[in-house]
Order: sequence, then C-alpha cells, then structure tokens
Amino acid sequence: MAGPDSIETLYDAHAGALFAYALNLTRSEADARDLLQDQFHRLARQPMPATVRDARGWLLRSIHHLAIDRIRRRATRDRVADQWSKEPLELFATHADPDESAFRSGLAEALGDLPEDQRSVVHLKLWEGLTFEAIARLLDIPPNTAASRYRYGIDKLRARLRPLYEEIR
Amino acid sequence: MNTPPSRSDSDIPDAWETRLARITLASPPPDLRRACLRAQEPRPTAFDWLAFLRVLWSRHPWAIRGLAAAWTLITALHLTTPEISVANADSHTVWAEETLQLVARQRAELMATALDWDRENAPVSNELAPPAKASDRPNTTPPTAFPTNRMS
Repeated sequence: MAGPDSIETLYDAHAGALFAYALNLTRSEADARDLLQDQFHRLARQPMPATVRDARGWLLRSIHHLAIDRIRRRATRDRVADQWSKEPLELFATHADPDESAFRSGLAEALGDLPEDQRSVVHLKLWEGLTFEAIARLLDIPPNTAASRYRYGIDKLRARLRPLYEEIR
Repeated sequence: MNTPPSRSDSDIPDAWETRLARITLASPPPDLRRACLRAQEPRPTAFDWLAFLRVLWSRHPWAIRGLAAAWTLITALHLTTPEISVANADSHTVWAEETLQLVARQRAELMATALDWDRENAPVSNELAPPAKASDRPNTTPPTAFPTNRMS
C-alpha cells in the first residue's frame, strides 16, 4: 500500500492499530483521539510519500513521534502523568466472560506500569506482530535494544499477571 | 502450573505471548472517523468580496457612501500633505514675514531685559553695599569652651 491511497482507505485499514497504539502510549483516550485526528489532518495536507512501501509502519512511526511529543508536553505541563498512566483504560475490546474481562483489565493496568519504551515495543511486537528488526527501524533503535526492552516488558507482565493467568487457565 | 518460560529474545512468540497477542484491541470510537476525515472535505471557498459589497450596497447604501467619502478624504489628505522627514522639517519650514518680525522683536526685548538684570546685579564696592544683618553673617568666632576629655 503506498501513497495514492485515499485517506478513507488509510483510515479504514490502519486507524484501529494507530488508535490502540496511541492509546497504549499516552494512556489517555482524549490524547489518542487528538493524535489520530492530527495524524489524518497532516495526511490531508501532506499525503504520504509515494515511495513508502509499508504504510502501516510509516503511520505507526509517525504517530509514535506525535505521541512522544504529547507525553513530553504533558509531563512538562503538569506532573500527574504517572497518575494518568494508572487510570483504568479501555485498551482492549470488552469480553462477556468476567474472568477474561478481569484479565484484560489487569493487562491494561500492567501495561500502564511499564516504562514507555518497553510498552511501545511490547505493543508493536504483540499486537502488531512486528519483528524486532521492524520495531528497531520504526523506533530508530538497534534490534538488540528492541529485543531487550521487549524481554523486560514481557517478563514484568508475566510476573504481574501470573496469578490472574493461573486463575483463568 | 507455571507460565511457560520466556523466549522473547526470539521473534517466535511463546504460549504466554500468543495468549496476550490474541486479545483484541479496542476499536476507535465511531465518531472519530468523521473527525479524522473532516480535513479532507472541501474547504469553504474564499470570501466573496464582490457579493458582499453588492449586498451592502443594496441594503446599506449609506455605509458604502460613508466609506467612499472617508477613503476620498484620506487619499486627498495623503496627496496634498508634503512628505518631509522630521530631520529636514526645519529647513523646509516657510516662516511668514510677520512671524519673523515678531520673533525678532521678542528676542530684542528678551536681550534688553537680560542686560538690565545684569546691570542691577553687578558686584558693587563695599562702601556702597548696604550693611548686612548680624544674623545673616556666618559666625566666625571660635567657641570659647569645647567639651574635652582632658583632666584639668
């Protein structure tokens, strides 16, 4: 998918992933909405370059930078970013099973406790299915760094969610 | 039963990672699509000044006439006022003959007044000077007894 795609096509194909990534990074639905709007308004003004081969990667990279800028501004503006990161967040789709629902809530909360760099790598690996090479390119970090951040993040999630995981197995 | 050991150095996910990856992410709110795509909608055309002036002329002709009169006045003032910079304003100022005479007369009177004042306040000899009051003169007499620490 490349430059000539219309914005509607790009939205329908990638908005879900972009919104979830922005939501997981910023931990604020209002910020995620703003970032997604900002992203597509930018696309309307300046379309994606025709040379881009991986539209999803290009958009994720772009919204990653927007999210980091937003987080930094927010942290400068007020010092309650940590508090925001612990607010319950509808990061995952709702589920009818209460156990599964509890596990998803716990996972969303545990993700909020991860540092941003680990959280972004975990998100991109688990829910975007990117390789460490792809994550490294997207975040401008070495592949080994991406792998180690993922390992630290996933181990923290594992330790944190083990009781819940054992309970619902 | 424990969770499987981490193999997260590899790109191949283990059971725990697969379990997490299967969880569906929340979808963006439905209203967000419209908000995001709004920027692509055709923007309103530029303001039509001609139509605006036509409506103004038909409904408020006095406003147009007032604007035209003000514009004419401003243009006329602009065209008739010589553009002289402040630095050169003095050299370009044309003084009326009466004004010059008046200034010369006032200058002469002022000079005469100054000369009179100088004459009246010129230093005079001691004989002619009026005696000064004792209280006006400074007391040059040394005090007869200063308090000292000396033991006498």
